[in-house]
Amino acid sequence: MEFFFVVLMMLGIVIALASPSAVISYVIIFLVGMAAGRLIYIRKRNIKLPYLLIIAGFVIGYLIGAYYGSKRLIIILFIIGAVLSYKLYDRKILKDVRF
Amino acid sequence: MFKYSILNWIPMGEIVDYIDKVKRFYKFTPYELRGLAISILVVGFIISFKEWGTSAFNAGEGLYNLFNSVLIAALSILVHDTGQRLWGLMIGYRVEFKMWSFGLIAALIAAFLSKGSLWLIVPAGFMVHHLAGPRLGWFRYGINYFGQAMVALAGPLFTLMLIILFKVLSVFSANPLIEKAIVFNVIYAITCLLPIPPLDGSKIYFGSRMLYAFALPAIIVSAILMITDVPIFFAMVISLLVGITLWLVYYISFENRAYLGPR
Repeated sequence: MEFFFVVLMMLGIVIALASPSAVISYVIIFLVGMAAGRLIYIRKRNIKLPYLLIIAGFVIGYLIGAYYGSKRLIIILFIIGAVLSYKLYDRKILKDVRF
Repeated sequence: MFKYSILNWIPMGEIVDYIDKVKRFYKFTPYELRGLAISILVVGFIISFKEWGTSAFNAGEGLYNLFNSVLIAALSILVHDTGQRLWGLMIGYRVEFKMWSFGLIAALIAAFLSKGSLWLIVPAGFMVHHLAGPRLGWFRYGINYFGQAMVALAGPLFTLMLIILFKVLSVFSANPLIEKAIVFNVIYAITCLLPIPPLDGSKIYFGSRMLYAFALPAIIVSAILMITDVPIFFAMVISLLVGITLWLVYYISFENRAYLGPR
């Protein structure tokens, strides 16, 4: 778990540093939030702490690396993306393949 | 007077049976249509990312380019999926289109980070459903990995045929839209062969490593040669030779020993 936490944190830092502007930072964290929401929906019956920590690792890394944009807004957009994605999958509006 | 007529050679029963299967099982369900629509819109947005104005943002120009890109994406993804459906029905499977959210999100992130330069066209996978009646009498009656691999291979092959069609059309009419469609389909054919579930490449790889060792280089080389000025016939021959060579190299260097097992 710790290994994946560190890996995703590094990935978050790299992606945040690669974002050329605040708007693109916000868009990317929103999309990552949507991916996280989908992951939480898939594991909803037996969601375990390691999954949440690994997701949090990415967000922490992204916040560390984000040069442009407001960090508070980044967290808010991530949460909005996750909740929106979870609701879309929960109400069967979106349905896709896992693997 | 004629005991043996040509009608005895044409398998009319199989053709009529296949046409019936297509009429009954080709249709898209509402979930598939929804997934297709989302995939086409996202992919269209990605390939038109850089075309929203030259020096300044221009919404009109961007929307026009987005419309063209959506048309290209729709045709390409539908042809790819149609090929898999038709091939699947031929061997007794009903193919279901399944959008892949992670792929679309990753593609959008790649597009935003690279400002539209990187096209990651990985919108979907598919699922096969066993058709009991049409599959009756087939070797290995149920769903099997090799059958899935053959269905998966049909997608890139139909994309390749679409590239050839566009290349022939470009000879008669030099249109930037056709050039863009060729480039898009080349990238689509290559990226869908990545061995990452649920993409076609993973299904081919897990179905038959030897088939993957042949198909991957052959399709990549033929797709890349389509962008160049190499004639289509020579491109096909070269890609076939490359595929056979690398297939042999893979067998001699790895599969031969892996098949025999540990000594």
